[in-house]
Amino acid sequence: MSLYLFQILNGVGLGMIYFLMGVGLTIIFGMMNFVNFAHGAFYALGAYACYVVMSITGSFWAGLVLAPICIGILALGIEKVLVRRLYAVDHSIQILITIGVMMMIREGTLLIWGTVPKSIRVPELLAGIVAFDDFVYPVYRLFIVGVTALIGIGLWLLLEKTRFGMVIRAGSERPHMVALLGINIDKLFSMTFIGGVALAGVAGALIAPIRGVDAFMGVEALGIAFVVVVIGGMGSFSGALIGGLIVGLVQSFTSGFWPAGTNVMIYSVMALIIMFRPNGLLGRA
Amino acid sequence: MSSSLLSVINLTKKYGDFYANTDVNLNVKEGSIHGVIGPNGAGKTTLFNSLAGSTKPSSGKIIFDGQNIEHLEQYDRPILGIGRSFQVTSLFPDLTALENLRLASQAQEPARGFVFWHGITRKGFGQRRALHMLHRLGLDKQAQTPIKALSHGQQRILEVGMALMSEPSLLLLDEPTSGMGVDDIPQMINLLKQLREECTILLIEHNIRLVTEVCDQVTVLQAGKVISEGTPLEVSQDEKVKTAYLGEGI
Amino acid sequence: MQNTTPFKTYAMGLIAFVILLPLLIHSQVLATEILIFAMAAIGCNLLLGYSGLLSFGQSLFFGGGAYAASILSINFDVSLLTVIGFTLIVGIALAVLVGFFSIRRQGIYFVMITLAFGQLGYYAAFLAEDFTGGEDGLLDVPRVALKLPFLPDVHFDTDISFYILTSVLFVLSVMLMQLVVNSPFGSVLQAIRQNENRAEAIGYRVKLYKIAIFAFSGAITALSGALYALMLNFAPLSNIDIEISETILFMCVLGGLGSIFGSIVGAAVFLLASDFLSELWPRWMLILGFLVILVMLYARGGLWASLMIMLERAKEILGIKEKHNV
Ligand SMILES: Nc1ncnc2c1ncn2[C@@H]1O[C@H](COP(=O)(O)OP(=O)(O)O)[C@@H](O)[C@H]1O
Ligand SMILES: [Mg+2]
Repeated sequence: MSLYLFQILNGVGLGMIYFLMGVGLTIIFGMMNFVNFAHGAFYALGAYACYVVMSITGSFWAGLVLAPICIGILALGIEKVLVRRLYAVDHSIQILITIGVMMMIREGTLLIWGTVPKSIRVPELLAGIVAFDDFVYPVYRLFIVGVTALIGIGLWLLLEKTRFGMVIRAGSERPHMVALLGINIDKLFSMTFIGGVALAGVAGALIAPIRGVDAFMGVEALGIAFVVVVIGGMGSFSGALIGGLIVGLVQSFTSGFWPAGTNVMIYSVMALIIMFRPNGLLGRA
Repeated sequence: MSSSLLSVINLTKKYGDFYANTDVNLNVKEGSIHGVIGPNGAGKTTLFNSLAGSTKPSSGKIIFDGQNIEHLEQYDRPILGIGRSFQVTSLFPDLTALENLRLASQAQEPARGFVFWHGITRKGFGQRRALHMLHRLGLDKQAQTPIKALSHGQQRILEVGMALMSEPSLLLLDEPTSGMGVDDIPQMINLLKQLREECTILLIEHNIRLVTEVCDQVTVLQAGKVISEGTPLEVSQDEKVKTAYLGEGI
Repeated sequence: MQNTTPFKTYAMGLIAFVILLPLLIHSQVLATEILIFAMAAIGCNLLLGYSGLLSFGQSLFFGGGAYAASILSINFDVSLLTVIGFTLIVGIALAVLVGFFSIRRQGIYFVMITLAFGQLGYYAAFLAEDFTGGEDGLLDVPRVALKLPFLPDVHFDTDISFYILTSVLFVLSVMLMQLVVNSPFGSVLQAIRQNENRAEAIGYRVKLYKIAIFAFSGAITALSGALYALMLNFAPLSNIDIEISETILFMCVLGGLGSIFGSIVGAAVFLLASDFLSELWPRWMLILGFLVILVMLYARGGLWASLMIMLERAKEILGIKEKHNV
């Protein structure tokens, strides 16, 4: 029994990280019709930023807070210089250009930090385990579940209950309407892009103590984020949540009986789902 | 009773909870020009989409030439004899006028499209018929012009020409004159009058003068339902139709 | 647009190209590599440039071809033709499978699904150690001989003989693809790329056409992967890595979408630049990423088309000057 609980908790933790990845991708696409293949690279950068801040200040907390801010500032620059010109162009061109960005980021990180993976130590407060009867679980993993759930709820409130969120949702359904509402589209787009990318940065920083930090974590996460979005349905907040949790749980349970096969399993589940529901679980036809 | 080429029976199309067509019934007599009118958003294009197979109806039957066709795929229908033009011009923008028509003709022999081992011969693969159609549409000079370089009026004419390449027995025309200048419209009316000799036409049109001039029968849709049917004269005197169009300024 | 260069002229040009290439760059191995990747880039261009399908599944076809050829060559006493035949079958089968799933969706979903399949292939190859050697790859892949009835076996153990083999397959497959893109089938692909909905409305079974072009792309890409494994005598796991898809895509884009000749240029430029730059600076891909962004922003026709445009401009300017002089 406790083994299942262990795997469920692990799966939910991973799933929430994937949700953060997927939801950024999905909001940016839904709002701005922009396909960001560099999303995984920003996730990797988030982990590196956390590593750097931590090695300077010695505080994981500082790393966790500053990493998304750093990534957000970088995203601001990239949006102003590059992304802004791409909203109107064909998706395949967006994809190729953001792959160029992804490549520059990946090679840049290799240039600065080399090929040897970095590791991040969990702060004292989160380092231990919790025990209920005979069930023990690492505190840090619970912390991930908690933090991501908070971010998820915050995001949901932001999207559902505020004017800003209303505009974003309206924008992802009818972009030209938003323009008619007299809203500054440029500013809205750039905020959405920064927000979506910063979420990837948070995800990277959160996973860093568990997974370690290296330049190739980006590609890995990009593939997974796509699976999340394909399963859940593009442009849908709850789709990203469900997709993320499914992927996380599949990964966690598979690693129980077939550790080497987790990735194969994830992609096979995706193939199965699109066979029966080509639009994803919550996607519109 | 003179035979119906097309019968639509209780056709309903839902988008989510929204009914774009509700229990539409329609009979189109062979050899007639049948108008479909109604205010914007009445569900006219949606009806055409079901007839042409680009969407599947939620329920109801479509009988064409004695055969149930609602389950058939879109690509099967031109070969059966249903040609369709679009309200918003939908051509291959970088290809020439000739190539657009040739492709539409080539499609009528499905196996030919998979010939990959030699080039397109000068006369085969629909080339000859496409040249013929260009001549008929009065676009000989534009044969080698890419679509995007044609005028809007020329594109509208070609839009109808594309639907004709399958030599349809039923032609679905969705607002063929939409966006056309007053000067170009007579050309379209002439084309329609010529076509009446060749095939049955179902015509969505906003231009009421045109409808009165060419249609034998008219069906009026409003909010997804048929509200009136008859000759153009009968329909124009129907109170329900007048109310439906109130505020549309007719 | 239809290519109007007569078929024979085109063939002569290709033959001249494969004869001159090793003389110009003084390395038979590099020349072989250029031809191999040109074939892969053409495979990518068939999908992206001619049919509007951006596929990240290319690594699966490339790696699949490499494994297929290697497994057969290592374990069985077969002729080269058998190896090639088997490679093509594997490539086509993989492509039809990926095509079948991915074309259920259009646009960005399509791209993501092909990418997911590419990843699936990578992890599957990683797991299937008994067949693929897992992380180590397959070592000591022999270049099997061409066995013909009544004739002595032909071996390809030297660089030059392997270059000749590659050239023959290159010329044959490029000619075939040239035929394909200018055929009635190719014209339907153009139509689908420009307006999928209309193509279906006038009677084309769009999905079938997409699967068919996937099959062509899978075949030529698998063949190039097989040749690459035979060239290296080695089939590493990295052959099926997502980065191979990226590399192939970049060659295709650099050369120019919708141009078979462009893909050859793209592969050559990419490999020559990487040969030159990677010795100077291991992180040269940083520059490549930048270059791809520039090409996509300012020169979407690709390098070759841009060069031609620049030549035209230069001529115009010179022409004007001449007139002034008169
Ligand atoms: N794909 C779709 N999804 C949801 N609603 C649709 C779709 N297509 C059409 N509609 C709705 O159906 C109604 C009828 O549209 P349409 O048939 O285009 O009207 P008409 O051609 O008579 O102007 C409109 O309210 C339109 O918004
Ligand atoms: Mg309409």
